[in-house]
Amino acid sequence: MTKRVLIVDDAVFMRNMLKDIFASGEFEIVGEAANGVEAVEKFGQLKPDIVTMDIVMPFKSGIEATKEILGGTPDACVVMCSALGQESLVMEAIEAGAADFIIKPFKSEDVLAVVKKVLDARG
Amino acid sequence: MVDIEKYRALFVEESRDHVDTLSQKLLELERAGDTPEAGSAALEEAFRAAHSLKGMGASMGFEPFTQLSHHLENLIDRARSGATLPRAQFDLLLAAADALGEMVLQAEAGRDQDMNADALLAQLRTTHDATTSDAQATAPASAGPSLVVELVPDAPAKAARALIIYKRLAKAPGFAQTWPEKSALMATDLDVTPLRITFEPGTALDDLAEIARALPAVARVSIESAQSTALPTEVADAPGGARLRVDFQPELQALQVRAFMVYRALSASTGFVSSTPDEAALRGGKLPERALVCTFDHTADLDALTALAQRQIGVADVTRLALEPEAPRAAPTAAPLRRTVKVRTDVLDGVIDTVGELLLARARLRALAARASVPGLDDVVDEIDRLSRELHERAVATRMMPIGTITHQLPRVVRDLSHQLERPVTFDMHGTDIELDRAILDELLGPLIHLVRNAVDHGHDGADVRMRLGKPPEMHLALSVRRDRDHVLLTLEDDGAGMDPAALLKRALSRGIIDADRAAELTHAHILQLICQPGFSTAPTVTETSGRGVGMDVVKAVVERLGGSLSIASQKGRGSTFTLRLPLSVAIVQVLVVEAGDERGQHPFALPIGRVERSVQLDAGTAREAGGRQYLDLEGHLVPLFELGALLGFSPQAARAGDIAIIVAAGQTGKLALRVGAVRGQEEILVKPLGRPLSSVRYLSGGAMLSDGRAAFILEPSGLVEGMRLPERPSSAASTPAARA
Repeated sequence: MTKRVLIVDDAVFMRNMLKDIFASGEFEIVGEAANGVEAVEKFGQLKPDIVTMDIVMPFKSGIEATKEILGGTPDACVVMCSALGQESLVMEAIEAGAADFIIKPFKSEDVLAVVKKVLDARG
Repeated sequence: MVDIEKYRALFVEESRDHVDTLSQKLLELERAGDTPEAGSAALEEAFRAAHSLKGMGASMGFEPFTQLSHHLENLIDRARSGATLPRAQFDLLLAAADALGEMVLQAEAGRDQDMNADALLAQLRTTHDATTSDAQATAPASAGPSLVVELVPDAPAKAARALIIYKRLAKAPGFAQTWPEKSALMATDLDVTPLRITFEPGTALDDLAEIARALPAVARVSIESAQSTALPTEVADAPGGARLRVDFQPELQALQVRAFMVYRALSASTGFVSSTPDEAALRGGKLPERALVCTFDHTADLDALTALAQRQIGVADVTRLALEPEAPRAAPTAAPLRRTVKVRTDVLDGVIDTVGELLLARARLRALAARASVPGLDDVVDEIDRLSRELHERAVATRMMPIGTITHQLPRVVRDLSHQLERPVTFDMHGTDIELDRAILDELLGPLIHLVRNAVDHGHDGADVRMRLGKPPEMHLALSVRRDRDHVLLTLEDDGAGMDPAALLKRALSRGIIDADRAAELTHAHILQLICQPGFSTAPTVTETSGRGVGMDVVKAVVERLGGSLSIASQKGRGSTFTLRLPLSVAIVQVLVVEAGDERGQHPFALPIGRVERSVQLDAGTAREAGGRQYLDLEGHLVPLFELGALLGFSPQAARAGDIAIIVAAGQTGKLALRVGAVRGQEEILVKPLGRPLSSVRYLSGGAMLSDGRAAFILEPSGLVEGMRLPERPSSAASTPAARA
């Protein structure tokens, strides 16, 4: 069964890269968001199986958005996307309930490995 | 690494935006100077921009680009945590932003290998090292004991309290370091507890602990004994328990986060006792031996725990052996949401073109409908008329962009020149959200930059001269933009030296632009306009800064070609004001269609109605001659008369009875009479820009398709007589009636 993905990043560039990485029979990109406010909105509308969440974004950070999403849906699967150097933020997100994380620049195999692991763990 | 060619265009477009934002915000920051609140929003945006650039650069594999962005991000981040950015660093930061802009251009041209910023990077690195005293301190090989201070949960201004506590305890002998570090404490909305203050090994802390407990808002102070960070490697079971050592993969990205996640998984399990490094150290990113050791008691299921650990991403090995409160980043300041989309400009242009054609077809439909007599047809035609006009307005509105999109570059130009010439300038802009057609904006930047540079270069006498005149040392430069019905007025005003009419006349005379008699006739306004004459500004003292490329003559030509006008006001000693009056849109204009040509054929030409004053029937008595040239006598004024066809290069045609002359405005003070073969009437046309090489012809401003389907050039009257020095106007008395050939 295909897994539904919501991609959140303020750079179109990054979203496109992720879309390409997920382009296979297993995943369906059901939506995109460019900031934390949109992320929370779209999550509510689309109820994806997994969210890839950029951390540094305008209007509302990825951490805030993750906290909100998890507040409403405690078993939501959120994977943080971060650049090197943001480790403490990632840790904060993990503590808030994010399932796992990936580091930019993305390597396809790493992204897919993390996402699969997260989805498998949730069953 | 991904196939970067797919993403190149997108990378270029997005990076360009971010580099612009970065430069802009850095400038704002520099100006905010002593008012950090003003700077903090700019700081957040600058940080986000640098951060995004870093991510994109890394994904594209552009190493120098990524490194530059990384350094920028770091330096800006320090400022976010409360460190001050010294003035001198701004030049470096702006230079780095410029270098990034260069690299974006190189990426666009496919010249990735040319990206190089070695010198800049070296400078940035030394800056980085120099400011390391504020940065994270590395953990000492064996840390001494620590005081862990917890604040009362609902204490107001926790960070301020923590800072006070830190300061008090840091004075004590034996103080080594504090966590969170001092610069993090200075940020105003952090929850910084528990505060961990570490001292040199051997320091007695009981007295200090008492002092700390007595400080306001302190809930608890505990003493932690010295921690050794060396990890055990041989099997040593605690009574009824065990330890698991988890080793991580070499070259693992974000090692400390992976370690932290493993810690969380294990510490949540039954039987967990403690870990080395402990949670605080893990959060602080301290993992000295790339390994985590967790201690469990007898209730733990070690097999399950081993399997759990092995499953975690990044784990290399799990061996059975016998645990920095991080400062959350302040949330970015919210800005009002704007719902916008990005559309490729060629798509927009296509829409506008089609709408334009629609309008023309509508006109033809109307003409046909007038001849047919189908009941109800007229109403439908009216409706189509109304709808197409509305559609046109909306389409044109999509081309409108705030003038701020080009003016945002001006503060940087002013700043750089002001620093280079060591002449202080303050520069303000108002009304930059007023919108103009994109085609106009495209052409305006060059002229605006030239005007602004001129002001700093020629208008500024220097701080000391200004002060002697009772003016403030810094020159005030202001750009204001206002709407005036269907026009926009851009005014650039300075309180500089102003222009001296006598000096201008002198120069114009010495350059042969005017002669003595003419000079005597000129009004103040005319004299000021002399600076727009070609040849005026190639002065012996042309400065490197404003004497190149664009000159005032080009500024004026561009403004007029866009259908606008330039006026100049100036007072010696007080300052100058340049006003550009521009139409809101260039797309559709009203024109007068005339015919010109020769015996081989007559062709249609379009004259913008805005430039046409009137038409005059040419008959005996109105055409006069003087000094070999023809003039039209208009109520006593002599206006130069030319045959349009001859001006355009057709073979000259003799004047005939019934000829009509069109009087057009050519430049701000000149008028021209154009004799044409016939006048076809007024029309509304869609301006189509001419490509090269025709676009460089000064007297053609575009092309259009007329309602009868013929193609016509749109004429620019100033360009018709450019290069031709209009001779001095003789008096009527000295002229004779023109002979009829």
